[in-house]
Amino acid sequence: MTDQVTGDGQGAGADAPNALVVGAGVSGCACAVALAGSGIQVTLINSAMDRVGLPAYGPDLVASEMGRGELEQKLATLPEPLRSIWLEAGMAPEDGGSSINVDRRRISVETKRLLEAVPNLRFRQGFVTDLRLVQDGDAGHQPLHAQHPRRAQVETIFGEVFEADAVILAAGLSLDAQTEVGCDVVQGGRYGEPASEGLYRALDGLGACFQTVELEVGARALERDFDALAEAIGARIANSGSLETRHLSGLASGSPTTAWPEGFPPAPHLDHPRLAMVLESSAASELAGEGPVISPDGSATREVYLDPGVPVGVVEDASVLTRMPVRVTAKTVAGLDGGRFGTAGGPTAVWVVGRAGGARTYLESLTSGVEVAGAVAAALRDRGCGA
Amino acid sequence: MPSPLPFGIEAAVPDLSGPVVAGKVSRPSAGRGYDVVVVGAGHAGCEAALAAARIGCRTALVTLHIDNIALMPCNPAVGGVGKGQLTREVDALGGEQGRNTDRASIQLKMLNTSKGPAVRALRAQADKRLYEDWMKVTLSRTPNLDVVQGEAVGLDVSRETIRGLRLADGRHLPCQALVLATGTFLRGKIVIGDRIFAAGRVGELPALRLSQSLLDAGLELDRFQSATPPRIDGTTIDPDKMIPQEGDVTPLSFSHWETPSPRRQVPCYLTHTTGATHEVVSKHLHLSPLKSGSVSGKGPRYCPSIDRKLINFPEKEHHPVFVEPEGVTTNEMYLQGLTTSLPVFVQEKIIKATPGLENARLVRPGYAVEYDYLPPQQLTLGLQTKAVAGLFSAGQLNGTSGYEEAAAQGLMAGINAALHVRGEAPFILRRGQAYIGVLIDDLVTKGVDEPYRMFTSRAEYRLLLRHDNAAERLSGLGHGLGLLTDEQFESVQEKQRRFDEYAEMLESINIRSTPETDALLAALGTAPLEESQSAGRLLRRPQVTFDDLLTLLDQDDRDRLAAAPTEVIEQLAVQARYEGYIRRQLAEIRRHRATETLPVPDAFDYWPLEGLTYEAKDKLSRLRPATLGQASRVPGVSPADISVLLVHLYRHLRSDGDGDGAGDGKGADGSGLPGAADRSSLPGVSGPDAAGL
Repeated sequence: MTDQVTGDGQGAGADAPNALVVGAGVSGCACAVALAGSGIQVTLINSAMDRVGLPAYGPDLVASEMGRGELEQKLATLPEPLRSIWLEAGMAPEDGGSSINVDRRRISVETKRLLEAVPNLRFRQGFVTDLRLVQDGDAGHQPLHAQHPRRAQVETIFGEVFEADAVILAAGLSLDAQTEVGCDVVQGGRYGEPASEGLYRALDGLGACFQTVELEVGARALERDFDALAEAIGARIANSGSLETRHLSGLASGSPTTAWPEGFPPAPHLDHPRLAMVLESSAASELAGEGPVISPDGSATREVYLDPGVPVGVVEDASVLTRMPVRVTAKTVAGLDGGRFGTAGGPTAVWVVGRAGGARTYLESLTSGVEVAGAVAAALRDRGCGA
Repeated sequence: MPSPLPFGIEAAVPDLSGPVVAGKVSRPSAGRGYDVVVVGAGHAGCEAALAAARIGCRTALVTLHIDNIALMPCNPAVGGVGKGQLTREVDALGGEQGRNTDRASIQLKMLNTSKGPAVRALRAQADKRLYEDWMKVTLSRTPNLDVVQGEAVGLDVSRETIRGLRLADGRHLPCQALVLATGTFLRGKIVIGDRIFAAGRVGELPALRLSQSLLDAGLELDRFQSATPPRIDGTTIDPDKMIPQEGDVTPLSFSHWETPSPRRQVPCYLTHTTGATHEVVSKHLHLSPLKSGSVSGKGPRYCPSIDRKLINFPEKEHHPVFVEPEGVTTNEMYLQGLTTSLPVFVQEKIIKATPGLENARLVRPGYAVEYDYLPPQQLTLGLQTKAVAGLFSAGQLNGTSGYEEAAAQGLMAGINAALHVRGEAPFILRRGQAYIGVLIDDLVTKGVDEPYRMFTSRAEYRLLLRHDNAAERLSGLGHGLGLLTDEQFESVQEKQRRFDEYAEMLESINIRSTPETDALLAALGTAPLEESQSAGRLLRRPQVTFDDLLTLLDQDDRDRLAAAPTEVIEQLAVQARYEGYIRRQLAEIRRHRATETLPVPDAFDYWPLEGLTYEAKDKLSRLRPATLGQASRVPGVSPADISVLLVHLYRHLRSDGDGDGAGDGKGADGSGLPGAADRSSLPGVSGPDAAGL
C-alpha cells in the first residue's frame, strides 16, 4: 500500500503491492507505465508537472548509427501506447540515413495524457529531498549492506512522506548536478530546474557508489535561418559536393493512436515532412564519421538543434542562439545489478533507472525503465506482496 | 498526424503547413543589437514582444524557460467581469491574448447577461497546453522577433538610460528599450505550511540576481504574495453532487478578427465549502503561513486564500468552489476558491470535506509564492520607469494579478518601447477611452498595496467602455500604430457604417398612434403613444425590445430592419436604452477634458506654491503626475489642492510665453501630452460612442 505517513497517515486501502517512481522523465514514465501494466499500484512523484515525459537533451533518439528497422525492434519492448507515441513523434531521413529525431514537445504532451489514463497510476507533485529505508517499522539512513529493507520512504519538499515496497529512482541527471551555460554555472541537470541535493546525500549515506557523467547538449537556433546556418557551418555532402536537403518522414506506419479529442480545437502540431540536413563539416567530428547535424527540435517553437561540436560564434553569425549549448555534469549510481540498488542478490526496496543509472540515450532510458519494471514486479511477487 | 477537424468544418486558423516566412526577417548583426529587449515570456512579455516586433522593431524575448512560454500557472481561464474587457481591448488594439484564448478555449460564457451592458463580460476556460502552444507558434512566426533562453542578471545603464541587458551566460544584448515582465520570479519564494524554498514556480528556479541590478539602477522593490489552489484528478470527482456550469450555446469570441471554429465545450462544476471544511481550516489555522508570519508580502484581497476568507468572514457559511478543467487532454482540474498555503495534509482534508470532492485525489498542492514587485508609482503613464529612460515594466511585476491585467500592460509597454526607440511620443489611453487606461492610471497614480485586480466598478465611465464597442473605440489607434491591417480596420469601419445606416433607419421609420399599436404597447406594460414617434425613440423604452419593435412595424419596414446583423441590433438596443446615461457620461468627459489633460510641466516645482498642503506638495513632487487629471487622483491630494494647482498652472502657462512647458526637451512622458491627444483621436468613427475623444 502507498501510505502517506504524514498527517493522519491515511492509506490507500488497496491490497495491491505498490511502487513509487521518483521522476517523470523518459525512464520514469516508461517504468511507471510498465509497472502499472503488471497490476502494481504506482505513484509517480514528480516536480515539473508541466514537463512530464519531456526528452530534455536534444531530439536525437540514438547516439550512433541505427537503422529504422533496428529502432523499431528495440522499441517493440515498450508497452503500448508508449511505443506508438515515440514512433509517431519520430522522424528519420527517407533515404535511410541514421539520424532519428523526435518532436520533444509532442512526446511530453502525449506521454502525460497516456499516463493519466492508466489505471493504478497516480501522479503526485513533489520534489524529493530525502530517501530512507524502513526495517522493522523504523525508517533510517543505515547503509544498505547492513540490512534487507523491505520498504523505503521518500520525503518531498512539501513535507510529505511516502512509503512503498519499491522505490524506483528516475532522477535523470539531477544528482549533485550542475550545468555550465556559457560562463555561468547553475545547479541542476536541466536548465532552470533545481539539483536533487537531498536525494544525492541520502543515497550517499546509504552507501551508494557514484560515477560522474558529463553530457554536452547542443545549442538551438531558429529554423527560419536554416539555410544560413547550413551555409555558415560550411557543410557539404561528401559525395555530391553541394548542399542537399533531405526530407524526413515519420516513423509511424499505422494511423495515430493518440488523436486530439474530436470536436476540440486542433493542436498546432506540424505535419511531416520536415527538413533536416546531415552535413559534413571541415572540422573533425566525433560522431562516427557523420558531420554535425541540424535537426528540427520540436513543432511549437520551431527551433533546430545543433550538435555540440558546432562553434557558437558561427551560429551567432547566421542566426540566433535560442538556447546556449550546455555541459551537464551529474552523478550516476554505479554498481547497480539490473537496476537494483544495494545488497547483491538480496531483496531491495530501491531501484534506479534511466540516466541516473547510467543510460546514455533516450532509447536506453526507455528500455531500462521497462526492464527494471519487470524486475520490480517479479521481486514484489516473490516477496508475496500479491499482484 | 493530420489535425482532426470536427465534421469537415473549415477552421479559420492560420496555415501552419508551410515554411516559416523568412522574407521580412531583420537578422541581427554580429553585434547583436536589438531595438527592444523583453525580459520574461509570460502574458505581459509575450504581448510586449509581439507588439514591438509587429511595429517593426528588432526584438528579443528573453526567458528562463522556452518550454514554459505563456504558461497559465494559476486559473485555467481568461476573462470575466472587468478582466474580459481588458482582453477584448487588447484584441481591439491588435494584441494577441484574445485570439490566442479563442484558439485554446474549451468553454465560453458571457457573464452578467441579465444585468446592464456595462458589466457584461466574456469568460473562457482554456486548455492550458493549447494556449501555450499557440502562443509559441505565433511568436516563432513573427518576423523581427527572436526568442532567447537565458537568465537576465544585469541591466546596462549609463547616464540614466538603458543600454542593454546582460545574461548570466555571458551574452550581452544591446538595446534601446527594455521591458521587464518577470512575473513572480524575482527572488521568488514558495511557502506551503512551514516549508519555504526558493522557486519562481514549483519545479523552477527563481531569478535571484536581477533584483540587485534593478536596485542599483535606482528602482525600488517591495514584496507581494500570490497563491494558487490545489489541482485534483478529475476522474475522482463526483459530478452528481455538484452543479454543472455549461458554456453558452451561441458562438462567442474575444477576437474581432478571427472566427473560431465550432467546437465542443466542457462543463465546470460548482460546489461550496461546508461547516466541516471550516472546521478543518480553523483547527489547522495555526499552520497557515499567514498566521505564522512566514509570508511577509501582502496578498491579494480579491483572490484570497481560503484561510484568509475564513479569518475575514467567519460568519459566512458557504464559500463557492468552482471545479474547472485544465484542458481536454489532461485529467487535472483546478479548484477555484480553495486557494491556500496550508500544509498538504490539511489541503487533503479540506478537499475531502467539500461536497463532490470526497474522493478527489490531490495531484498538485496549492501554495503561496512571494516575490519582488516594482511599486508602480515609479512609472509614467506609458509604463516607463522614471529612473531610467527606455526601461519599461509590465505585468505582475508591477503589482497586478491576472493574465488579462498583465497582457494589457504588456501590450502598452511594448508599444511604448517601440515608440521610444523611434523617438515618438508615448501612446496613452485615458480613463474614458479604455479599461486599459483605467488600469494604468490607477497603478501609476495611486500605487498598490495589494495585488491589483480589475473590476468594472473601477471605471467611472464603464457604460462607454463595453465589450461590444471595443473595436470602435480602439481599432483606429491599433491601425495607426501598425498593429492592425487595413482590412481589419476597414472591417470595423464597415460595421460602423452599417450601424449608422440602421440607426438612421430607426429614426426615419415613423410609428403612428393606432389602436393596434396602443394595444400592443399596453400588452408590453408601457404607455400608449400620444403622437407618432420614430422607431428609435420608441426603442428607448425599457419594456420594448428590438423584437417587440418589429411587431409594431409594417411588413416593409420590418423586413428592412430585421436584416440587421445581430451585433448591430445589440448595439442599437444598448444605445437606445442607455442613451441618456451615455450622453451624460460623454458630456462629463468633455467637460473635464480641459482640466483632465492639462499638462503639468516636467520640472514643475510644487514646493513654493501657496495654498497647497504639505502632504500634497510631498506626494506630487514624488510622483510627478503628467496632467492635472492624474494629479487629482494621487492619494493625499484633495480637490482643494487641485483648485490651487489649477490657478498656478494657468499662471505658469501664461508667463511661459511659448507655452512649451518647463523646457524638458525629452519629449517623453510628462509634457508630451499634445502628442498623446493627437494619437487618441479616432478618425472615421462617429456616433454617440466616440467617447469624448
